[in-house]
Amino acid sequence: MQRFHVRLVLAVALAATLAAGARASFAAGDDALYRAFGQRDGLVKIVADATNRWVADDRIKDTFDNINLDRFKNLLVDQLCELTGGPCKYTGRNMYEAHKGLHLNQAEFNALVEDLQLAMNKYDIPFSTQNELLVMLAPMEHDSVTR
Amino acid sequence: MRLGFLTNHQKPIPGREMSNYGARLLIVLAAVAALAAPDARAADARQAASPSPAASPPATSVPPDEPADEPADEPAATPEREPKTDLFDSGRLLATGGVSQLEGAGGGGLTPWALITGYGTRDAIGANAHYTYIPLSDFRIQSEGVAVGFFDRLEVSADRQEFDSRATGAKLGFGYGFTFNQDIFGAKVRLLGDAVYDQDSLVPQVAAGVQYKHNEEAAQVRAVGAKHDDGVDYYLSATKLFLGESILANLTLRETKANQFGILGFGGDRHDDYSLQYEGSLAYLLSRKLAVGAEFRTKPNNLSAAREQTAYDVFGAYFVNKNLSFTLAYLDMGDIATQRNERGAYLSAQVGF
Amino acid sequence: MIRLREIRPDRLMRRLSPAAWTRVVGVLAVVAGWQLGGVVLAAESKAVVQKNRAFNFKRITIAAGGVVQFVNDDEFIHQVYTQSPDFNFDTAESPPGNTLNITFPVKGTFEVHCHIHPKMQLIVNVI
Repeated sequence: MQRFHVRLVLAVALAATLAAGARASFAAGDDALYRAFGQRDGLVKIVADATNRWVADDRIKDTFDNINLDRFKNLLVDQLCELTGGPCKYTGRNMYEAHKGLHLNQAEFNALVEDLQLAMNKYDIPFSTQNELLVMLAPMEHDSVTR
Repeated sequence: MRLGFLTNHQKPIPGREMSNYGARLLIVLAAVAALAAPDARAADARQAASPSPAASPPATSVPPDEPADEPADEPAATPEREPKTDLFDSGRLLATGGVSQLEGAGGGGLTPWALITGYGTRDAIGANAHYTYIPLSDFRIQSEGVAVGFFDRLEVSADRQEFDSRATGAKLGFGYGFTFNQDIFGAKVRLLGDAVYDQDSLVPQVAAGVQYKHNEEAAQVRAVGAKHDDGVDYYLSATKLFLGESILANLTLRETKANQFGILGFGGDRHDDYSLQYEGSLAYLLSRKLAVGAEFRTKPNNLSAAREQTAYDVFGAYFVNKNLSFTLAYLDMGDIATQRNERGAYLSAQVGF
Repeated sequence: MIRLREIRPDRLMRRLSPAAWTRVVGVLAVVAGWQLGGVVLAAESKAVVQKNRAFNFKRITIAAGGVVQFVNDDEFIHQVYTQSPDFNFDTAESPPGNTLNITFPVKGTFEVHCHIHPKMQLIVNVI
């Protein structure tokens, strides 16, 4: 009986990599990811749902106290639209300036990400597509988290 | 008093100071202006320290002699947001602590990863306990242990393994179902990088670890040719999450003398010194809760009487929530103690926070 | 003693040179400016600090024509606005370290808010 061969393991690894690459590749410079999120309308819905979760989430609702939520949601949609290759321009401040007054920690940043994932789940954004956005948001931890 | 200069009838000289008539005119006009101007001195006293630049429309003339019973200004206490600190925040994202590997460290099934076990962020502590059951063709392995992660920086673990030799025990002269028991105490330190947040960099999360292993069956391990019944493994792991591709990759380098991970002692007749072994994991994230992947782990092959080969597995890990996860794998350990092609299931459960 | 009869504009015009007339006008302008400037410097000015997304006063009183200086001593951007039949303003964003000077020209009671932080409120009582 043939034992488990290194080739099989490598085949699995290759298959996994190919599976990851075989789905639509969202190259920088086009709006494929923007369209995958349902364009501005889709982003507006996701941001609205995520914001509802954030202001109800005991872990982070205090950080949303005394914030004009309409203004916040607009800025966030602009930012996500621009990040995903959409025809928008984010006009808010950079992540460090915008968040330093809040003294956020990692747990708060992660809570925000988790609620955003739930919002994206609600609108049936595929997990791999969600990660295409999260890959751009994750490095913002370095600037947004100051505590 | 005679103002003689006012009656000076000298002729005016062009280009010089004003003539006497001009001087007279000036003095008369100045006197009139001084008498007619409102008294500004009372208003000056109320002026603020820094005068305002004229960015707003010019002020209209204000008679300052209003009644002095204006209400006092009411100050407000400026609020400070009290940030929360929680030593057991379980704040890390789901699955980012890995599971418990065979020797009790945080990682995959076979190999430790650079991730620190548990869900504590850098401000907190996380911990877990695991139980693993591995029914192979001829042997049964069990592993149970606990691990604690401190501030996403340090991990310590304690694990106990039981290797039931079953019928092979009798063949080897130890008795049917003879069980090799091993204790493993581990520590791991994250040296650099953050697998989750450093998505804008190719730098992996890197950790260094040690595992002190003590096999209780000193006589039996020597009987199969091992030189020692305890030993220390040293390893370095590099883990990278390629979030855009939903792929996690890990490579571990290990310096070890252990035979079959220590189950059959340390060192042997073929080789009784440290050798560098390679371990790797590749996982694809299907969802927040489910990852599938494959691993390999090489072995030093120190014993001529009990050859060993690279171990492989393909696995699925399901994270119910931050308190519970299950891992199911198909494991091929290669040859163990004269038995060929030891394969079977790997089942593990982890509870923690 | 001044003999007013001797101050006669027609003779004065002939007596003073252009240079002299320039000096006369210049001195009159200085005198006028001094008097008017005294009136502007006399307007009231009060400072209100924006910190921790709040004003450091709930209510202030200022004379009509006075200036309220909104000092951003916060880590957040702010702006100020008020809406009333008598008086309105709606400023641009003011970053940390910046000061906005708002003149309140008419009497009344005005609620000042920040578009960005809805809980911020200052009552300005203009008398």
